[in-house]
Amino acid sequence: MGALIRPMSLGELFRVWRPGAEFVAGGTDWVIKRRQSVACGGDVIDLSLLQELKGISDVGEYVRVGALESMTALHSNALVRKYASALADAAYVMGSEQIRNRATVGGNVANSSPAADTPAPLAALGAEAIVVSARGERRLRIEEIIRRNANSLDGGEVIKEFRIPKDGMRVSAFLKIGSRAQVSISRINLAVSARPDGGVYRDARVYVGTLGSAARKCAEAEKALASENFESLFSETLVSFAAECIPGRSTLPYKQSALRALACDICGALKKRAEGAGK
Amino acid sequence: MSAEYKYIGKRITREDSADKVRGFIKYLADEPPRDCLFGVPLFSPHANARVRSIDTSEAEKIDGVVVLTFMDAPQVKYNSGEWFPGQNDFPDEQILTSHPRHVGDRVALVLARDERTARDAIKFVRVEYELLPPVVDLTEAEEKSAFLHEDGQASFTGELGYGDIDGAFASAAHIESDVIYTPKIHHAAMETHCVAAVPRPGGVVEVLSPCQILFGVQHAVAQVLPLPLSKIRVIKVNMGGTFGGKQEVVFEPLCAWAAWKLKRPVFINTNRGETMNGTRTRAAVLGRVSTALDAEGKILGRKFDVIADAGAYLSGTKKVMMAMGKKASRLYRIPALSYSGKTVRTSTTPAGACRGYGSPQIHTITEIHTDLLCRRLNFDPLEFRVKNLMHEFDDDPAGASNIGKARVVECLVRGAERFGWAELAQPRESGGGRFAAAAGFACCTHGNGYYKTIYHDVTQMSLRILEDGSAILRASVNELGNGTVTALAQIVAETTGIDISKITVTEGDSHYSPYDIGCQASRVIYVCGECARLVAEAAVKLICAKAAEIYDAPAVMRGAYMEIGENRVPTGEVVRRIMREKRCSVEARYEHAPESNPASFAAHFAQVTVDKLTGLVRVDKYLAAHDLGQAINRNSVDGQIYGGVQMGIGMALCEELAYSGDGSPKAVNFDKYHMINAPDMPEVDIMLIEDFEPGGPYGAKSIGEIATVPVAAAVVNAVNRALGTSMTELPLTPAKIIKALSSKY
Repeated sequence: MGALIRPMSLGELFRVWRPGAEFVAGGTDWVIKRRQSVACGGDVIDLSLLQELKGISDVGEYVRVGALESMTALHSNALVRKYASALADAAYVMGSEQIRNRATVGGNVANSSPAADTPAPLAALGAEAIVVSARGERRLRIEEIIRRNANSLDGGEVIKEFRIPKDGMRVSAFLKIGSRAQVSISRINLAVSARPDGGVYRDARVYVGTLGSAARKCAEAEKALASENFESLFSETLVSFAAECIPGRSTLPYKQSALRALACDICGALKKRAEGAGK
Repeated sequence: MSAEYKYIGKRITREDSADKVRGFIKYLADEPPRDCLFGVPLFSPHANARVRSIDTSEAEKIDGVVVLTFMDAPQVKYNSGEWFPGQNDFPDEQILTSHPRHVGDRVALVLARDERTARDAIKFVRVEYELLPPVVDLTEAEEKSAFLHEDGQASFTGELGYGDIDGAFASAAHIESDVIYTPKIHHAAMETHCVAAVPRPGGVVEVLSPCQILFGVQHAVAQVLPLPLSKIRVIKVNMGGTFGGKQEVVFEPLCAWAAWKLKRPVFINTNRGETMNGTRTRAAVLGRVSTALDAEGKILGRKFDVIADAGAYLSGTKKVMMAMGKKASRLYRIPALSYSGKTVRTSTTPAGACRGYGSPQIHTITEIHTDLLCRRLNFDPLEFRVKNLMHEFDDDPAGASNIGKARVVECLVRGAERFGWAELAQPRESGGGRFAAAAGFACCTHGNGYYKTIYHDVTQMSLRILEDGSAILRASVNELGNGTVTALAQIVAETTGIDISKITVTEGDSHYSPYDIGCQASRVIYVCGECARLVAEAAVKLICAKAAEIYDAPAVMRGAYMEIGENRVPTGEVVRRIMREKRCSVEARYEHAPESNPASFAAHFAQVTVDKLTGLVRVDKYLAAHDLGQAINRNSVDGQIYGGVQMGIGMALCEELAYSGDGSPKAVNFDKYHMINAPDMPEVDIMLIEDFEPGGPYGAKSIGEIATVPVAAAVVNAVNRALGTSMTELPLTPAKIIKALSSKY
């Protein structure tokens, strides 16, 4: 095994990073994955001491969420709940209490599991990720980071923070279906953010998780939400979308049925939030 | 009834609970023997393969590493489920093999000073395998058996039956059949499998095992080592759960052999994946059941055709398959029965004992079938059962023990009333038709030992009252985590009057404790508990007789003191005088071989809500009604029932060890093997029917295994009632429910 390195600042991180080094933040995926093989690996860099990657704050036009913030921090934060309720929803139902206390939002995105819970809501909220390396900063959309079981980041690049636009006109929600009510990995999940407008939803962003990737945009479903009596159309567009994403997969019929449930439930959740916001 | 007792039926806190909660109790893996070698088995990554070559030289260059392979090991074959010499369970397993027959089969044992070195060294053992065809489907196992075993045994069959079965079916007004599948299941004890063996002076090999059958381990080790039984000392160590998973031997013979060969202490420990795929499972069963009925719904006869999947080795699965048949005649009055069973071997993890030993499988099959036939014939499922259930002191028409003071009708009728069955029975929809709710129930029976079976049932204990009036019960019991030791202490305390805090109960050590056939077959309370009562009675009789001689007055034992004539004398003082003046200790010995083996009974009720889009089932409400004669420790009884319900819901809805076509297990951890967790558990209401079973201590009989037996059928029946489906392939996963609904419309 190489060294365990615990940089205190991004500057130090950039100095110590060598190709082959692995990053660990909360460790809830990494420890499980590497349990058997860490002895043969290169350096392990623990990101958890980097202050630049922490904090949730109101920065005018957007809410800044540090990549090291835990699921527990996310779902209990008033700003996140107000402007990013879909993300708060996802953070609240991810894993177990113990996992939520450790798992970080940056790690969840960077790990890029197709069943991850935070990428779909972040994408639906229009969040940007700020990624940094010795070469400087880049701004990326969530879908640009997520690949199938891998991220698209360059060597030595880490996610520093997410910027979630503050749009008081929008409501958002996230729902998932796993094998049981709690402590469960998503079989399918769905995130929606949209502007309620007289019983329909405008400018919707709809992302589905677990269909090969953790956040796939369903443009037809977004359009559907703007039409009158959208509920069954919304549901059917998602069902067709699933068939396009994972054609012929044995899990498809189940995922389609489960998507109908999610579509129905998320419409209910959005409606409730829209009414709440209207008060 | 329990009101007159001081300890029996009360909620007694187990003596080890505080220490367990504080982490003070050490398990074997916390304290391996000093200076031991850590042994890590090299498990086959292939389902069926022959080892072409094995090269250990690179691994053995690592400091202190020793590799033992199948070439070093004795070639003798044994059966892991055989617990007594001469039981003639077909032997087909070796401690290490050149022909691994499932992923997780043992090819070699790599030993080192610590576990990490041993696990690293395994990577340097080069094994070349020649792949053979996997055998995954139990229905194809017979025709493919030659790929897996060279012994020419395609299957292991067994028949049971009585009465005029052809006549019953010929005269029937209705004949109903169903085919039902129950899954292969992981026991999921918290403690993974481990064992240690230490060579001792005098040619003794000491085996430290968290086992269920002390003397069965001794017998198994004697199969592979050229040692007399008297030189194999088996010590039961603290156990972190078993559920039958540690009833059969798995690593014990291997570990004992390695220690004996290397003349070093050896410790074998496994992780979750290794325990899931390298030890034992509940046997999957495919069963066809046909029932002949008269026009009024009286059962005339029942036929079974059952295939049990033993996995890679026969193990105890033939016994499990036969046990299923033996349970079939003890729940309903069935005038004629034929049971035709077949145990097959597949290239999957060996099966064997698992909580209920075939009872969950057979009763799941018959109780789902009973509900479906009632629906098809328009019989009320409750009335149908009441009409056909066994009555107290019925004989078992198959020739096994009388069923005793059966209270199954009471469990069902009073349970139905308490649960509100009449109101909850009919399916109800909500959420615009998306959710369907209904209730279901199931009945079952289980045994209390081995009396009137082909196995002997005997246990011996001694009780010594010490010089200070305290007492020690020397018993060979194996505490499985279920509270056996505390229950026996309660029985001794109740019988002698000695305060329970002054009573110690020993667990088994084959060198020092008396003989017992093991903690299996739901016999511990009924047989060992009664032995504890009898030996305590004998000890009281002994001390009273000796006291009467010394004090020349009639003596009565009152626990801490004795009433002797007009005097009250502290018990310790009496003991001291007896020892000094009579030159004898106050120790009674009793050997108990039961003359009865009654049935325990239960009826469980479940109300479920099914989401017809997600296929998720929520168990909303649950009642477990049990005929257990008499609770000994109400805490433990409740705990057994809660845990049994948790296991059974898993069997009904989500637990299954599944394999890919190439025979590789789909789950190697709990991420892909889902059990019901706390948020999904219903509140479990418990109704005990305590009506004194003759032959048991204070009228008690078994609860631990039966608690899980009717659960799966109750839940499946509720789901099928809610949806109007006839699903019979367990577990009812969300995907299967959605599929069943889509084919229904």
